[in-house]
Amino acid sequence: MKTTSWKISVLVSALVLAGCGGSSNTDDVVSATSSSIVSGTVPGTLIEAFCEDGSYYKVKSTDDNTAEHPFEIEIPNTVGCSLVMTTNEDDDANRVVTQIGMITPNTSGTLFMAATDIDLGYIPLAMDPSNINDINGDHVSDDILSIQVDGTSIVVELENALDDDNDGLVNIYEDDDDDGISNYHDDDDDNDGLDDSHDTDNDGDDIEGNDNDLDGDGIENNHDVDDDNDGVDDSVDSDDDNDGIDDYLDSDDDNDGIDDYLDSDHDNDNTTANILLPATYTADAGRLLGSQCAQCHGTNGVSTNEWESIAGENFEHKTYSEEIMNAQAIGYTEDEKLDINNWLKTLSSND
Amino acid sequence: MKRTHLNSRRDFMKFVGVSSFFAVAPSIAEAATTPHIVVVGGGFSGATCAKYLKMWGGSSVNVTIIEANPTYVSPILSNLVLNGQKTTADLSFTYGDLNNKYDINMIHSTVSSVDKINQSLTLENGSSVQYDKLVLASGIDFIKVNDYDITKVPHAWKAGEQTNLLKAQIDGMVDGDTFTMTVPAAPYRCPPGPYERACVVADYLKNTKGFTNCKVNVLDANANITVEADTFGAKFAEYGIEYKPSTTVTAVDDNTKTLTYTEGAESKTLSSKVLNVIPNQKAAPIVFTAGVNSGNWAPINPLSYESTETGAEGIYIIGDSQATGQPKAGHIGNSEAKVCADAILRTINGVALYASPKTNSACYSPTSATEASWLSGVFKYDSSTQTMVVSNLAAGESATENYRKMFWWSENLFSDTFT
Repeated sequence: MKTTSWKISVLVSALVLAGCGGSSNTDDVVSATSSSIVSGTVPGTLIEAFCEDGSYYKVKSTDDNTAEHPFEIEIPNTVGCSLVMTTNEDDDANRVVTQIGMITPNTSGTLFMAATDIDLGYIPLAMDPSNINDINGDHVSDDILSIQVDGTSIVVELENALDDDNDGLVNIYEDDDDDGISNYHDDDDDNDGLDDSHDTDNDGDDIEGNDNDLDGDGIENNHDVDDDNDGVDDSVDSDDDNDGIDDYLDSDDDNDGIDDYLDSDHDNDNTTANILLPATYTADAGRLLGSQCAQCHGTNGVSTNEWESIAGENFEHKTYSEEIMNAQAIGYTEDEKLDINNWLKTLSSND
Repeated sequence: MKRTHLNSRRDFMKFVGVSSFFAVAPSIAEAATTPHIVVVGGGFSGATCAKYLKMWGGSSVNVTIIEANPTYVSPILSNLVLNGQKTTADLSFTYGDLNNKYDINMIHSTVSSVDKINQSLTLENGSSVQYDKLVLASGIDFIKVNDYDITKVPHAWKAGEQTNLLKAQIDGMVDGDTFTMTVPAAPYRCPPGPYERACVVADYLKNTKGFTNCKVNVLDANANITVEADTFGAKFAEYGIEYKPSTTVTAVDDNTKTLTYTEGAESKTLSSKVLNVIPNQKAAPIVFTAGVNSGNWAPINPLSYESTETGAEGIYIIGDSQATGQPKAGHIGNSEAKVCADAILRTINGVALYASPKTNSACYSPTSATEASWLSGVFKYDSSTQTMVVSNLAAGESATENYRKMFWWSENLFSDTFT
């Protein structure tokens, strides 16, 4: 693997040129799983991945007593992700943040999909702030460290939704108020003198309180699968917006400013699409019986919360871990369970 | 055909106009039109019935909900408004999804009369709505012992403004004050609800407010705690709640907040800083208007929920107003609604009714700000008596793990009903 450093401003023109070239980013790839492992070696480093769906992943490299610490980070391969690596991450004075770019034979950019597991090899990150170009002194390198990879294992996106100003650097590591502290490390992002934790408009976007991009990653909460970038997918995160109020007591789980009772998609899983209504009625005993499961397990067996979805599953003859489920199950005959199973099989969890 | 929201008068008249045509020329209407099913009441049973009629019947049926209020406030979880863990806004649902996703017509009005022969409803504004099938899902009405002001002595048994009134009164209490509530004679809406409320209020006063000298009285018209007696009995003892079974309220004075009641042969009075009288109950007024009641409730065939009263063919009663022995509550109202929706669709399509429907009831009851208990029942049709009977009943004692599960249950129930 060959690495190159580009000026952030240079990268912009490279991206634009590549964009005019057309479909260089459409390499056909088929993957069996929804995630890939990106690995490599680095100096002691925090590796973060910011993805287009708002999900967030991080690992620290493993100190194996060499200068090249190995790391593996599992990221989705169905959405684009952007890598940022930080050396001396716990040391404010010596921290160095580097945006990673990818170069394939056809294109280059900072947002990519790893079609398969890829080994980036050794990534020569700077360890000393004096060794990077950093005009505003925010410890975020003005250069993108680009790694040359095989074009068939990676799809590079020409536009990075996580990079509003198209300079290649993800929004989170910009320094919006130009105070020499990147937004990520800045307790007062907009320099209005109020600590972000007490500032109702902490990113200076003039949206007070119910901010539709809580984590400032450029993905609006309603498209962000991890609203608070705590690394826990909102579908399993008991406090999606990290406001300290557990979702089940929080009247606005996703902090999109729409109270849950008015929000048809309060968990922001984007499953509000209009349903397809049939043209005619067909009697179905299993559906009638099975619809009685929906009060607890959701319409057509798709739960809206941590309770189990049963679409596509079997109503088994077994002892359930939930006593209340046993109390229900005992009320159904074997024939009724068969009918229900036949109907459940017709349902997909994406219904 | 996409039907839009029928709020505006112009759209509404268009709808009425089309319907009137059916009445004038019924033979043409039967051949050429889509059956129109009108559901009166948009609570747990009514909203579910409308949704499932469209989900299963699709464009083969027109479905309209007539509901007075643009927003429904769930009585389920509303005792948590009293201790501040929820607001009525948290428990409010509108009809946007039913209207948009399921193509259900919404009319926000009240039915003033039912013409069973011409299958026509008259609304309070004088307009009429024609139906092929009519589903009554309007919940309960109260039987007050005398005329008193419910803004002074709230029942808070229909959620919304009443809930907030009671909350405000409780928050006005100081240490040493008394809270008195009454439990209506069965059958009444939400069997565990009154006992749950007593626990939540006692816990709130004692543990949240820190009032060690407040008193909570529960006057029960029934001889015993009607459900989960072990759980609630233990909690009453823990909170020091004074429980008086077999008491009959005979008068309510809203100014002095005084109850007159009989206990045994004796007539007694009790004054209280906050008085929460939950009156005895009967079917909703529409059931009486339509003349489909027998006594206080509406008898139905459990295979379809169609009225068994003479001349009431095509009228179905689901939820709290119907007269089966099933409990009166939101979860089982939703359950009955699916049986009813399927039965209506079978009838319209000439398919025999499903012969052995099952319904279920489940509920989690908060007993404090951190604990809940549960009650679960499955009901089956008994063909020999033509009634719904218990297939299995079970209860889970008060525990912290149930508190969280209570919200998972309610979220899916709310969603299955309104979204």
